[in-house]
Amino acid sequence: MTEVPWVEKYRPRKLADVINQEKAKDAIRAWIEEWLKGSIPKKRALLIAGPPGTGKTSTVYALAREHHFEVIELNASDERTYEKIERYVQAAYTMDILGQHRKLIFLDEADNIEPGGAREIAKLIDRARNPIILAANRYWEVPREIRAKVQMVNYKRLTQRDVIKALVRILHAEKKTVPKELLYEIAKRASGDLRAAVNDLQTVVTGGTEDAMEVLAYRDVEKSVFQALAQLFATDNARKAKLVVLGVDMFPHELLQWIDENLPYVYYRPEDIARAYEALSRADIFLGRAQRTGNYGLWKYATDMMTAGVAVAGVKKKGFVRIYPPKTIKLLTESKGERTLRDSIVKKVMAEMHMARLEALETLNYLRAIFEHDPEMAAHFVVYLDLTEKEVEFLAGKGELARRIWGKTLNIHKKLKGERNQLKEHVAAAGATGKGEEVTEEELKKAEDEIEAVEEGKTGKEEPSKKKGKQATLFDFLGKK
Amino acid sequence: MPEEVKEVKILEKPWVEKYRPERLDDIVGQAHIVKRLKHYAKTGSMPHLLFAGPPGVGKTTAALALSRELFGEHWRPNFLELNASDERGINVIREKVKEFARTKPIGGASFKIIFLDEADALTQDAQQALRRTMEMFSNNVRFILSCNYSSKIIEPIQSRCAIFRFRPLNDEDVAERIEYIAGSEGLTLTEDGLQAILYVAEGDMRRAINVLQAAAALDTTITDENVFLVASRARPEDVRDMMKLALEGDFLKAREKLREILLKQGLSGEDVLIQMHKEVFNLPIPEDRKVALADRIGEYNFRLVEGANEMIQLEALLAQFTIMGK
Repeated sequence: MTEVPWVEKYRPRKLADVINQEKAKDAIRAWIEEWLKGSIPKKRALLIAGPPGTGKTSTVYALAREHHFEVIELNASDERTYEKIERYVQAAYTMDILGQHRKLIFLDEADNIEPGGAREIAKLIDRARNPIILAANRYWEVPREIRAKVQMVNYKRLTQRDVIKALVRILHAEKKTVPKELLYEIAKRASGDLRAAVNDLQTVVTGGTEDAMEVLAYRDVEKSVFQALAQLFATDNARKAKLVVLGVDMFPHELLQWIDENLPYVYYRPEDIARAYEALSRADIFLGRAQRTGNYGLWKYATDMMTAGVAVAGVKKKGFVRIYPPKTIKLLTESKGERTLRDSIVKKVMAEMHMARLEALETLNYLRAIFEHDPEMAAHFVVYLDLTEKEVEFLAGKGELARRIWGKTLNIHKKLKGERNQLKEHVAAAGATGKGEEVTEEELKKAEDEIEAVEEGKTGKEEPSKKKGKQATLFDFLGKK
Repeated sequence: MPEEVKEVKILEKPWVEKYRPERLDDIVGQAHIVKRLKHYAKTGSMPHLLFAGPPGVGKTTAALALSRELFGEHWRPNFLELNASDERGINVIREKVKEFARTKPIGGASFKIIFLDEADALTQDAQQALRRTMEMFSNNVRFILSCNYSSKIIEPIQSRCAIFRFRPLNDEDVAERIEYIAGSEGLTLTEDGLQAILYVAEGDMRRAINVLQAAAALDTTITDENVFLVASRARPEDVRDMMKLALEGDFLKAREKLREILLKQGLSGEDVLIQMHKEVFNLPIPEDRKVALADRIGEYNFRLVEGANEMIQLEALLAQFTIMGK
């Protein structure tokens, strides 16, 4: 299932298609006209500042397409950017003489330029013979040296209405529909970020709408992990793979589970899956060692393995990859009640029937067969193991059968109580006839022992014990103890 | 009518308990052990004991019967049963031992008995702590440790114990007991039914009796059909299915199965590895790959022992299976 990411498929081709930035676009047009006329504008670089997903990148590519520029896209946070810009500025200059394929240098994430490189880049801007466009989310975080050299245009945050309109257009083109509430929800959560909205829309349409709200809810909380994983699974670069998870607000073992969940959707060749899992396994070992020794400095090696180690494991599926939240967490939460009941029954079976845990687990299945077919026999087990009504339901299912077994159980309890009272009365009567007190005490004790022997040493019959079962192995997984 | 034959008690015990031998002499198939245990009972003294052997061959029964014969009617207060896999760590065990050892044995006995089941579930460190505990209270407590493999018990403990190796029961021993129980319970035991029980029990008396009782819940006539029905429900072949899926290259389905086994059925990672190891030589793959996979299983087992996360490690192991398939 390779699918082109919709954010690429529906990226505006023409500047006119970039929505709701009319004023800014006019300024950009005027600036590029100067270049096209062959003169050099006062400011050789243009900075588009605006929130994510408002059309900055689209603008650059639409502009280039309309005026036949080749876009040289550089990432400002890359330490070698300066070198590259320098090279392209020179190359562009020579090309310019030939009069074709003018280059447009596009420097994304200009708010991430390290201060050291900023002055150098500012100098390059002075020498530029070709248009340079920079993009940034926050104008004020662009280094001062650069701000002084650029013409600034501001992109507005998109309104919910803009976003919905754009989504509807895509749905039309794809001949797909989603419920209206869902569309509104996507738009609302995107808070003006059209790219996020389009990605969400594709996720929802691709993955089916039944669990859509849940996925979106996750997206709200875990927005950064979705983005980080999408980037992680798109790169073959070890260093980049490490960097993309930096902003994720998660403990490494949580991140490990997210990567674990999604990895087999990204890799499809068995040897790649195996290699990726080998890296995860190593990451997990480092986490275990950190936990055991208290040396959390080891976490960084775990992170290396789970990010870079996974990213370089092999050939990845191309195109859009849907990121899922870890199902294990959901499974564990959903089955918590069941597991508590199961563990509690297992514990009772271990204690009352002298069994090891694995044998008790096996016995649970024999009990199920008995509970299903013989309510009378089942009731005796219930009394013997001192099971609660909920535990009976766990074994027999909720319904008529469980109720019948429980009814029979109460009957047995009643009879047992009756017998015990009878014995006590009997002993008391014997005491009243004047037999030696010592003998009576002994008899009483013996009588009680007999009952106990039947019950095989149980206590607190009327109060179902509420001891919790062993959970360590399961929660090792979630919380590493 | 079978109901008339049955003696109806107010509370029926599970058959594994109802028919658990109370006296050492009634234990089947372990004559060599019973002889020595009876000697302890007669002389009223014994060292620490280590019972090793497969499940369902009489280790717990021997410990219970021994204390009955040692302590007579006072056996209950002088006997403490603990399960190493159930208690939260060695410290909990130590506290319980301390509490139990604090009071004197009842009825003139010179010591009490602590029966520690699944002692091989303890880590090496925990076993060291256990050894110290055993020494600390050795004047009035004797330990009986029970395990499947004595090799998983550290040397210093082994050297302080008399070691008893319980043998797997042979089919005749199991058959005799099953016939006796079926008779007492008024069941009709068909020959096919009996053979089926012996087949699924694999020398495990507890399993044989459990299967018999579950089959009896279906019908008072014990047929092979019902025996296999209850037995297959109790021991689903999920682990084998999971391995097959992985070998066929369907990693996602294999992973789903694994999650079900670990999370829903409650098996531990190590339980799964043990079963995988048992199955690996029966898989329809070339011989050299069986060996390679056994090696892989061992490697991931070691990673688990080191304290790694069982879900991640087992998934990684399954991924190894996918390359070993076609």
